[in-house]
Amino acid sequence: MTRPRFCNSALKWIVFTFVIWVAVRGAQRTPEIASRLDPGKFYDALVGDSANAAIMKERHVDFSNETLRALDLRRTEAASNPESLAGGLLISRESLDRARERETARWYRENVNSEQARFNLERQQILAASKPAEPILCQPAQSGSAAGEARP
Amino acid sequence: MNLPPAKCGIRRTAWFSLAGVFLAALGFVLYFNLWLYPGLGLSGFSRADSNAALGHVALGFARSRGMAMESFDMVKFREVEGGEAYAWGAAVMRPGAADAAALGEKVLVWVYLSFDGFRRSWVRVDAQVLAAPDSEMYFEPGKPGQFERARLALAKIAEEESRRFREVWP
Repeated sequence: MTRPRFCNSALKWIVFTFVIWVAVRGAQRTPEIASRLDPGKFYDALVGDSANAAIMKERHVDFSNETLRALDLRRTEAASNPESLAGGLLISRESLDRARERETARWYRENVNSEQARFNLERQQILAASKPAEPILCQPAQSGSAAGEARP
Repeated sequence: MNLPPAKCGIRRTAWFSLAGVFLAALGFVLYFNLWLYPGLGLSGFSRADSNAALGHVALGFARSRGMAMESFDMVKFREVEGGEAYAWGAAVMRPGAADAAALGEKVLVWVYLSFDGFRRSWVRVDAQVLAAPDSEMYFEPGKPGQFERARLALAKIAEEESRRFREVWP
């Protein structure tokens, strides 16, 4: 039984079609092309992602804050009532102090991250407002309409 | 048609039943953790009702751990315009007599919810006692060792899972 060579077979055209399909869909997802296919959607997504990131970093700062408060509760309890440490196998007065130092360092890092995320959100909002890319293949949004509305 | 003789011995049947039971249990745990537990009892709270939802979740946590809830130390609601919404806070609780030896007289409990746009409901993301005695924040280089760390992590997961089951079926 002889099979047709790859160059002559229908398989060639199927593979060729799918390779082209993947290349086109991939190109449509690059920022250079996606920002021109639908600028409104593209820049709204940038702002939305940055806003989500800023909220996440703020939550991490709050978690760090509350962890420090909880550690201080443990430390004051350990100072007034030394046998309260007996229940925790890992904890001693010294390890509480060292944990407090490490969590303070984490608190500083989280604050820096949160500030950077807020700066990034501001930058993306300015970028979205300036709308640097001209749309192709679809009409530009009507000027005067609010962001996210009346997109073609 | 030359089929091989059918295999239906008692041993084979036992293995298949065991695998079926295991798969059913695994599926139930996945369904419980990914769908049933996160939104349980929260369908009545709207997107703006984040404080009430937080209170409901914190009370459920307190009840399942045998704690008495006092108040919230901090509560926050944040949302993206036309997108996600998040609520988090720290509740002050008093552990029951059984837990007081390990946890102390007063603890802070972190509660974190997010609004699921698909379910149109708040869902639980995280609830944990802050600075708990088994927390990783007390780990030091080489103390405890790797096996002890793995044991602690597995114990924490098992404890959280059983706490969820106790919260749903007290």
